Amino acid sequence: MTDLGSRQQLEMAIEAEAAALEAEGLDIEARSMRRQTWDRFRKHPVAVVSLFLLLALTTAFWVGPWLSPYTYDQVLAGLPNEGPSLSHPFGTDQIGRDLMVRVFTGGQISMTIAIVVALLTTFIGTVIGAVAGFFGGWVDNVLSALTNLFLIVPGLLVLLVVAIKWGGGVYSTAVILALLAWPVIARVVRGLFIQFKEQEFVQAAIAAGAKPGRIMFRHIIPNTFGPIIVNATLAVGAAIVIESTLSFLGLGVRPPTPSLGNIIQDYRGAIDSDPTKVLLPGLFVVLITLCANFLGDALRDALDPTSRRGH
Amino acid sequence: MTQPILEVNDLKTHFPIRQGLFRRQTGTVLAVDGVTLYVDPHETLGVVGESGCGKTTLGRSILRLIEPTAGTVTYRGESVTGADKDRMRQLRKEMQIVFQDPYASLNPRMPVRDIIAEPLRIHGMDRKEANDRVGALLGKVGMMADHGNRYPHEFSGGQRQRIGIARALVLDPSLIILDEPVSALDVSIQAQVINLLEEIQDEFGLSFVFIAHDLSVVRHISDRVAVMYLGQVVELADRNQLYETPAHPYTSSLLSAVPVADPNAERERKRILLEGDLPSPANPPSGCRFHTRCPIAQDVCRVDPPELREVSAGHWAACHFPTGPGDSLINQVQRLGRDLRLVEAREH
Repeated sequence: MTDLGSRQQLEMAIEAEAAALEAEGLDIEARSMRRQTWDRFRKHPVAVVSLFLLLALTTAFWVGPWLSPYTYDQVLAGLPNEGPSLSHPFGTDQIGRDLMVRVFTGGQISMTIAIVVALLTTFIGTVIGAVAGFFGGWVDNVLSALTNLFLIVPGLLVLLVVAIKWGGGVYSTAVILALLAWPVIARVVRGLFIQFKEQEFVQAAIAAGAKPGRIMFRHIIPNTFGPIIVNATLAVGAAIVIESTLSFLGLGVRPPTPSLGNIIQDYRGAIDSDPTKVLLPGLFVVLITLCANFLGDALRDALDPTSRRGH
Repeated sequence: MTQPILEVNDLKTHFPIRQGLFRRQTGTVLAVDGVTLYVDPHETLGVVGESGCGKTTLGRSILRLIEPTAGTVTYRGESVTGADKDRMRQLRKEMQIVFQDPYASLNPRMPVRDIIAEPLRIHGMDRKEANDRVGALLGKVGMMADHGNRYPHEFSGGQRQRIGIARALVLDPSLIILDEPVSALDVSIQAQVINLLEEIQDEFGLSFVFIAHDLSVVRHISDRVAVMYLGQVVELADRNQLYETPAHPYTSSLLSAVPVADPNAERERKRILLEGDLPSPANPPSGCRFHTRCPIAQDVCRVDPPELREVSAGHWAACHFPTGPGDSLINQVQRLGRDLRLVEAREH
């Protein structure tokens, strides 16, 4: 066997390799994980626009009603069914309430529900999925059975029954939706934990003497953040649609509290005579859902450190 | 005689096959099925075999990354298989592992410095001291200290494998299990990593268990070589003995597949083609496990599993009809009047 190269040759080879990597577009300076994530995110212009649009909508929903001279339940005498004007840009509703303040407040309420649903489902789903995937065995069997049980429940039926008894409030609607949606995330997280548990870097940590807590919190959980955040983002989009549907059916947020869904319901009869009043809240539902989905897709790439898209 | 650093005695690792609604056990995969071997201090023991022969499981069972089903592993006279959790954690400082896949073996979310320092932190060293040691080690494996700030995906395969080696070295172990450490790398990078391994072996006085399927690489780095087939060691000998006068027909056939550097010899080289596929380790053949594919198998081989016996000094083989110097596999086949499928190596 020939000697395969002295130390010096080795070092030269490494330098050549480093130079090649730099030519590929890697910075000489190390960039932090956060910085790299942002750099990958920026490569998705649609998602950047979505992010700013979502921030703009959120700001409008929360600041708008506060700046407005009207409140969402204030009836302005003698001004029902007004068209758009300077003082009422969206017009007024059937009983003379300012529609812009109602749509913005409705957006605020719909968004609150969506975010609470996303947070709750992510929390419940992550904890249950993580415990099932990490510990395996009978723990997994029990939790997976529970997950599947919730998954096969016909959601709309339960919603009908539960909403009649406990529905109507903002938070009760959110909790009901979360209770139906968590199994999806639990399954994803369980799969991730099982997948990462077998990875060689976890084996390496065990070989170094790491205890289960360290394996879970230092090695597995940080690697599941990406997919979990993506799922949470997508859950926001889905929750907005479901909340609107429920409120439209009268099973969600009850008037006079506005939500995007029940405002659409108010005007469904006026689609021909006064279409803007249905289309405006509908447009917000569509915008939020679209933006959340675009954002989720970009985050999927950005949060994956091995993704080289755009390099 | 010195005491071996590692002794493995009749080690078995079986995996249950569970099926159906109630997860009833319907079978057992005999991944490792009765392996006995030892490793001397400063020695490299090569372990070769086809994919699925249990060599990776053997490596992980020695470290109890997979709990062995039966048998014992002894490190410097102390039982590894009998160690409790705390003792095991201490023993892990002595025995480390380098993995095959340099992509999967490093946590993508940790900077390289933290990855290498982690074993030290687990064993209670403070951050500053650990980082100093990592800086020194990065130099040892041919990288720069400021590489520590970067993340694994920013490195090439060869560099990642160096990082994996640095992590294995950081606790100052005496034994490292190298689980196909170069199979995922380009040939040119393989040479660099092999040289690095030899350098650190000399410098730190390490013992290696070098698991691989590439016979040329194993021949280059090993002192002794064990050949595995379906969860068992079929031949174990000094490197030169094994490569020059193989005793087991399986070894002969494996060796016939190795290209030779001399172009004239390479032109003449014939490969012995084994009949059939590797049988399932869930349902190994009776008698000698190799008999279904062995060109010289006889009746006794179908019933009687051969023991690993010493055919010459330090040369062990599990075969009823071992080949030897002047009595090659081809000779034996001709004597039995059988056909041997020989093919021109160049056609493959």
